[in-house]
Amino acid sequence: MSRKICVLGNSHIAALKGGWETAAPAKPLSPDFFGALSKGMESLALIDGKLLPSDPEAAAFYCDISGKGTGAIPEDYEAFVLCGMGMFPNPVFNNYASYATPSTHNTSAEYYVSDACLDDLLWDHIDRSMMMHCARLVRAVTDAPVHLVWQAFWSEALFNIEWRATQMSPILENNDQDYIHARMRAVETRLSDEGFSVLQQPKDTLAQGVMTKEEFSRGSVLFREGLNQPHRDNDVFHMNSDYGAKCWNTWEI
Amino acid sequence: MSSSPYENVPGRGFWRSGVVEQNPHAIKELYTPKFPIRRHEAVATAGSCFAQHIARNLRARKFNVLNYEPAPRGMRDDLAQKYQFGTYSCRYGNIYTAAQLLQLAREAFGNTIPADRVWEKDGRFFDAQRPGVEPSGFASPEEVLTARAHHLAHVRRMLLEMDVFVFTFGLTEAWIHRESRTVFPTAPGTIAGTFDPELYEFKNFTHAETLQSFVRFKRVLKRERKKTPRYLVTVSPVPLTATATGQHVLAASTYSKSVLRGVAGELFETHRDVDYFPSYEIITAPVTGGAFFEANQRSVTEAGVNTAMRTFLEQHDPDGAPIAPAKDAPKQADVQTPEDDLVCEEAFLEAFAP
Repeated sequence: MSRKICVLGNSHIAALKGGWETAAPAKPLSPDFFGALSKGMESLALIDGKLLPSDPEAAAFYCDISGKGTGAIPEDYEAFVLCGMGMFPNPVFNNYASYATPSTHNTSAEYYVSDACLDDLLWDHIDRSMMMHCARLVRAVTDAPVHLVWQAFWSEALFNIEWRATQMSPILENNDQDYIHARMRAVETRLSDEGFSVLQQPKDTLAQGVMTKEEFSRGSVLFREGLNQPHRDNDVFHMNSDYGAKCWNTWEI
Repeated sequence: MSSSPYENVPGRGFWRSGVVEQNPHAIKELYTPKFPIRRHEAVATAGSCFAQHIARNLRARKFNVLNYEPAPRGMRDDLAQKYQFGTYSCRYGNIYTAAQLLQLAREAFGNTIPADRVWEKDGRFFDAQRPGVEPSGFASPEEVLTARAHHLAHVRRMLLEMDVFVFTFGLTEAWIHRESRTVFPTAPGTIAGTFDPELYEFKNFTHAETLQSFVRFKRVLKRERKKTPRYLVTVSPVPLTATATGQHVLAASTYSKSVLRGVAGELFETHRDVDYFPSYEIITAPVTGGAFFEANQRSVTEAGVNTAMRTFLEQHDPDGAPIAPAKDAPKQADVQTPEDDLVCEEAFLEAFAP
């Protein structure tokens, strides 16, 4: 008997949908995919017993892409998986070069603050994200497990973009990958306190600990009906169906 | 020849015309700057809680208020305030006494190392000179000292580069390390550390000591810089939260503010490069009838802050956008006050009240 899974997200859901549909793993799961583009999921609400964006445009897309033609009925699902929607340690990457902490090795950083300072900053970023709006809504309407998924680390193709390479290089040179992961674990502790679990990026998709191997971003497609339009060149954020398949094969849901 | 030396005194020199007949929201000719502060000039701020209003308002008017230790990118204002980013030009927290200001400058230039630098609380470690800037502290004393070394480098740069230094005198009362005479911004045991009467003693700085500290601070800068900055001093109108003198807090507060006002006045009279801005008078003048204090009789109302800043900016930025007109002061204790947005370690003493 397959477990019914409700997958909610934004554009990052495309990899999971494609991964499931093109390389369905032999797992007793039956996922339905619901999502909206851009900020559409910010308006997710419980409307007439269904999880549905209140924004009409987002709602139309959400219903179409799921193939259900309607919203998600919480009672129909045994678990929820939420992906993308701003769940990424952006502030930690953005501030690494300038802000050292006791956990970093970047001795040339201009400022030195506590790890707690960066933990609070990242938590504030996550706490206000579209992800947490959706997660808390789902948590409020069901007792089923709610799994949150970090957005995949940026593709190592980022080295084709000068400013991103400049941002990433010091982290790699200082071997401070563990520092990034520690900040993410601190967020996960707070999420656990709210009753959420977190699904990790599959280890064999990682490049140097804090990036995603380029093979998993090459050919990623837009979250559109048909899933056949590629993202722009140098899109380092979105992953392809191979990545999605890896996730489905790795995760225990 | 006049019949009285007061014959040619202008209206502002008489209590009736200078105060009683004035609108308390706009007392005329109360402040005439000794020197202008131009928008492009690098302004650094420090002092007690009330000084935070000055920094905030100057920033809002696009003055060049220095910020050598900015918040990490993407940090919202409330979180930045928790970690005291942007509260002053560096993350030194409130500097309530002139003695601590002098000590900080000496430390920044490597002339002294304060004693008892790290305080502990619940297994976490705090910078004794700014225990509030990292609310969770650090895991080890070494981490605290590393953070302090970074901080001092920024303070040193600020002291060398600022054109105008705005300092608000806050208190005369402080706690010091008996043996070394190191001054602390908070009583040991209030935010972190442990109070040990064998190690620490109470100190109520006198007029002479406060004046001397500020003058010595100026001397440090004169020695370290080619061109010395100009100074704008103010006195915080916020009364003491608590006193350790054994006196009634009203008497102790009056003494403290009197000393500070006297020091500011003497600095103004005897130093060409020191100006005094009368925020203390604006907030506490009898003509206001206490309207510029909140129900707790300590916190300054938004109307009071606006009145003080309007008086200041009318002189230094007359072409700038007007500050919101003063409104009647709210009196409800639960109304959020401008003080609620301030970081005031001294207010922690309230927790020890009976």
